[in-house]
Amino acid sequence: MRDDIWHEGLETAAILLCDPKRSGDDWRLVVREMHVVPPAACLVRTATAVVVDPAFGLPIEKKGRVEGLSLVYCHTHPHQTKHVVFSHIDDHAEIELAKYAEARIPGIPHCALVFGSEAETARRLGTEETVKVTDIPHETASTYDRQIRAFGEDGQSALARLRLGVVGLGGTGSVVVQQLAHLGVADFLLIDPDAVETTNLNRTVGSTPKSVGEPKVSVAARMIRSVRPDARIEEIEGDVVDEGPAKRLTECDFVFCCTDSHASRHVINQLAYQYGIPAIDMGVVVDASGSTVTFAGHVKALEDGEACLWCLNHLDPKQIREEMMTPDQRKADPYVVGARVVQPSIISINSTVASAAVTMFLSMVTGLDAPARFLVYDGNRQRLSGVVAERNPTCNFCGPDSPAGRKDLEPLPVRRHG
Amino acid sequence: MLSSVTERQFERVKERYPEGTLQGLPSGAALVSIPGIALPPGWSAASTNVHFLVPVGYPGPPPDCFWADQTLRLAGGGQPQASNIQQIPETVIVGLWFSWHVVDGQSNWSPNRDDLMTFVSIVIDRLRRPQ
Repeated sequence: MRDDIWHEGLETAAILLCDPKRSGDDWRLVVREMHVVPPAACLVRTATAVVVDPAFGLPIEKKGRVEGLSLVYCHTHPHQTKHVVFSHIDDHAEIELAKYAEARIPGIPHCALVFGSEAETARRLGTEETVKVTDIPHETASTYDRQIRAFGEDGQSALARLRLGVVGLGGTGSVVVQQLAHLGVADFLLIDPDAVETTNLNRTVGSTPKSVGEPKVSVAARMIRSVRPDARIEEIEGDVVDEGPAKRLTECDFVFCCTDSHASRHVINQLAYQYGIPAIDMGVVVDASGSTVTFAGHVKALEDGEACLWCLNHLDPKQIREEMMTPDQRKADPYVVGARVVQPSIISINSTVASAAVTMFLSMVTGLDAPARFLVYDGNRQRLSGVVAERNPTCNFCGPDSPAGRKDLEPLPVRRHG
Repeated sequence: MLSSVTERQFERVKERYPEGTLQGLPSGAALVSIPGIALPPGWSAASTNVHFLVPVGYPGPPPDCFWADQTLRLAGGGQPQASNIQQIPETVIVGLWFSWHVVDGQSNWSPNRDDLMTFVSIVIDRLRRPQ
């Protein structure tokens, strides 16, 4: 903005129209329009003063009133560089301007902004209340404009900084990474041991018939790059139940658990609490064994203070024992059922649950107002409900005597030499 | 390295069986060994050593099966039900493997309620019945 109005010798001015977004006790003003004051609309324009013809501001202020936008009155101080302060003339002029702006567009904040050659300072109009100014790169601002309006530039910056672990790149995981890439996440660790099979093509987003035989992590990586060519993506074609891949997850800032393996979910559940890395577990069940098809799903945040999957009895100890076995051990155990029953899977149902999980992630990371941390999807009734999850105060996995918070002082529940 | 939960639960086992040992294995599993478990009449010996594996991922998944001395038989010399001679994985110990599938214990196992002592009790209960 500075470059758009800067003049080396004379003060210049502009009026900004901004979207006001409330965030708790704070406001975020996202610039929507910038109206540069042309020299002809200046009643006074010198090296130390600029006075704008009120007629110039009227249509802008009217638009602000009609659309509920905040006004930000900007001007420059050509003689100031890094230390930028409002002048006494500014203080005096703002008294009436603040009354006027509040009368025209009440209930939302209006600001004053002054630019030096290398810095700027802003305040609430007519007050000494300082306002933080954040510059969003133009490309970012334009690409993510519509979501910045929802959760602000700080939220967008957080998304861009995070390293995201995604375990399982099938029915839900492929949808999750596609949405994360569009949202602006740029650093991914993808973990999945499987290759795409013909029967996966109906629900693995980003796959084509040519993907058959290709690792799921590679299909997901290609899809992410198609959305974000600059994304940093690490692919691990492995099982998170093995120590190597699991330890790599501890480098992430956030983890999505998109696998139906109980052993994998057990590992991620413990990792989330032991290392303090927030995670979201999700699952979909479609049951076609009866006379009618029933389908349901869940989304559960795993973070300090929230009930874990063991508190909710969401994990099957016997299944974990079998899944933790090596192939040789499994073969040697006569009580382990060899092949798992093939379950139905439908892309729209997977996407419903995956989308709910990504929205929960946005709430956890950007402060988007969506406080539920346990969602249950009743597919047949088309109902997504927030549910209260009771913690087990003596839980061996997230309670006070558990490995929670102990990081490397405890082993992860993984196969070694994996 | 064993989890603090496993070690804490083993302390309960030690209270009852002070000679018991807990040994970590390369895979991440662990071996619990309890020497000199007294046996009721009906067995070929008055006592046996008992071993069982604490599985990888414990306390999530439950223990399963156990080993007694490889010479243990029923009093008449017969082989106990669902047993055979087998080496304990990741160890040099060869024992009489009881594939005694603790079905009730398995299906109802809760890692937030049951512990290593629960499984020891399941083993002892099996050995109370010489069959």
